[in-house]
Amino acid sequence: MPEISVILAGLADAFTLVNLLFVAIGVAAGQMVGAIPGIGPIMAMAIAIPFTFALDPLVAISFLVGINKGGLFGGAIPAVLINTPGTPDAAATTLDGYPLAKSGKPVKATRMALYASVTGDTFSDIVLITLAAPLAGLALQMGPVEILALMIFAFSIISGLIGDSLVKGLIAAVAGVLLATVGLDPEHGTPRFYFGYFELYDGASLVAVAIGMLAVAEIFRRIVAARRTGAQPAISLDGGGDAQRVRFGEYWACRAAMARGALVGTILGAVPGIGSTAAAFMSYAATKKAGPGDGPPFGEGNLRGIAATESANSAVMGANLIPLLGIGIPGSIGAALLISAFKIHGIQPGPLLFRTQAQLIYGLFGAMLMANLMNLIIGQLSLRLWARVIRAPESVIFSSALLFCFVGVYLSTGGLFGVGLMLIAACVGYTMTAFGYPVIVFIIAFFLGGGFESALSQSLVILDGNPLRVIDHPVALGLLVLAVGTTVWLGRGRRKGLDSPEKSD
Amino acid sequence: MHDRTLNRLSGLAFSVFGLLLLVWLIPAHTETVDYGWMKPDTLPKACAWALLALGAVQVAVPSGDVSVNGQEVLWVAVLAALSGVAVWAMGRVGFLVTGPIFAAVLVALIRERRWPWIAAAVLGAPAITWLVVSVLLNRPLP
Repeated sequence: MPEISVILAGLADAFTLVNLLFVAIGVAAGQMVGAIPGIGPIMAMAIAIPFTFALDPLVAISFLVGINKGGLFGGAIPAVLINTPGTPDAAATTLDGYPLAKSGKPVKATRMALYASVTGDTFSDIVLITLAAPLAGLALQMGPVEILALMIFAFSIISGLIGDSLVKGLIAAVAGVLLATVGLDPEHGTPRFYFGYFELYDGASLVAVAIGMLAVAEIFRRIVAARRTGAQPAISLDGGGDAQRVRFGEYWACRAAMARGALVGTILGAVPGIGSTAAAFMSYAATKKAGPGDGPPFGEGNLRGIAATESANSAVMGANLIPLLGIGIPGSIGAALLISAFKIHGIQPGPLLFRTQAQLIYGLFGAMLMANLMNLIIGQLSLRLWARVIRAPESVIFSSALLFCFVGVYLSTGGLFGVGLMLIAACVGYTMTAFGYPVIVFIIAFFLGGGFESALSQSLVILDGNPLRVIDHPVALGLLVLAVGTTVWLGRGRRKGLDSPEKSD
Repeated sequence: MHDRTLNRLSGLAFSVFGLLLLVWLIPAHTETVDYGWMKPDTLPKACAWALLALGAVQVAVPSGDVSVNGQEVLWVAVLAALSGVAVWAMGRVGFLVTGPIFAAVLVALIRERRWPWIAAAVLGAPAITWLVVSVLLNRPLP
């Protein structure tokens, strides 16, 4: 643990005017790009990293953290207002956010997303600040066998809880892992399934696949719907005073959902590879099981649903930095980009960081708390601006959104091949959704697939090729038992649901 | 078509895909390595067997909702084809020519008739994209 004088010096570095200015610019930019489907904070961070070379390391990293945090809330804006998540993390927010917006309360829905996002984010930042060093030590003890078991456990939960069929969820998860095997295999470095396209050597682009399946497929569907109904405004902002604000009582009523989300997001965020999308859906599923309270049913505009997803996906951000700062392993794409930022400033993230760069690290922690405050202030001020932008008719929104997706994926992947891949992913995503296969499970599995294969490969070496030797790893064994138990429990629950009179044909 | 039939058909499609992977795609598109516990085709093969088995379960015990609308599928296919043509055209004549034309086609498909909104979609969105990407970010457009 660093000395208190170093911690205070770091926090003092964070609360300078220049740092505040760059954090505010970063947050505003993050909210803006997060609100535009197909652009997103990850792309904005990737574009911004080379331009931060001239800045002081703390200012540069604070600016990038600001973009990331702004984007966490920004992604919820189109999810609520046009049912199109600005970022994959916000996909779960559409489930209750859009129905609430459609019922005439778009500002209330967006504000709830903002408050939950800031609450979850602040919680995970506090956990990061107080527990970073000890938790990093714990994460360091977690070997590939335990990580593999944890991923299998996550697959079993996600496949079972998302969608309305366990078999379809499992098929989507397997298909996602299969897509992740495209490119060089991690053990031998030989290319697989690249079909002569060298762009696939590094695997299928997550940005292209996620935007194609989540955004473009939805835009296609919405354009067809707009064609049937004729051009009309996407959403109405009319409503009385209650529709425009979240009362403290409403916020307080969501405290359990937010606490659950913050906890799920923080725990999953601390484990490398399990991202904010998974956290958001797991938190939503857990809150759904807890019941809708005095609000409408889930899926029809329940504030608890919005609170659960937004607090969870935002809580992941702070927790993602635990393995990054502790052992140098990024927990997400955003954290991986931060590694690039650290490196261009000559800093190597890892276990020694708390000893050699403690002042910078605690400066970063101060900047993160400041970014949360900025997120709240800028979010409050800009809500109406985003809502006005969304009032444009569907003809403008969806044609523009499709063009932004084209250009965004082009910039992110560095060529039109990625855009073509995005269109294929859109068609696959549309077909899967039409037949009831959860695309979000597919995307989560695709994102985790690479790490899953690496962990499997390392585990087989550790276990000497004998899976039964997992009994020597009690944590991994416990997680595997939980995975089997969860699958059986959820599968039986599904069968009971199918056999019940109200679900029968 | 009944939901159960469509569910069975989708299960069959995944089973056939799994079979296709095992007999053709994996042997043809992975390299043979004879050392190490994990070979390049180990995980793909495991996924293929899982798809084959889970697809068969879906055929035998169909479950879950299906929402296939024939007319919507047709129009989504048209949109996907138009988007494919737009991507191809961007590679040939660039975004600045293709972008407005593609936006105009989309606006026409939605049957927008208000000129200000047509202008916003056809000229405004590509112009803003160009301004942000080419001028502000100094990045090349397609």
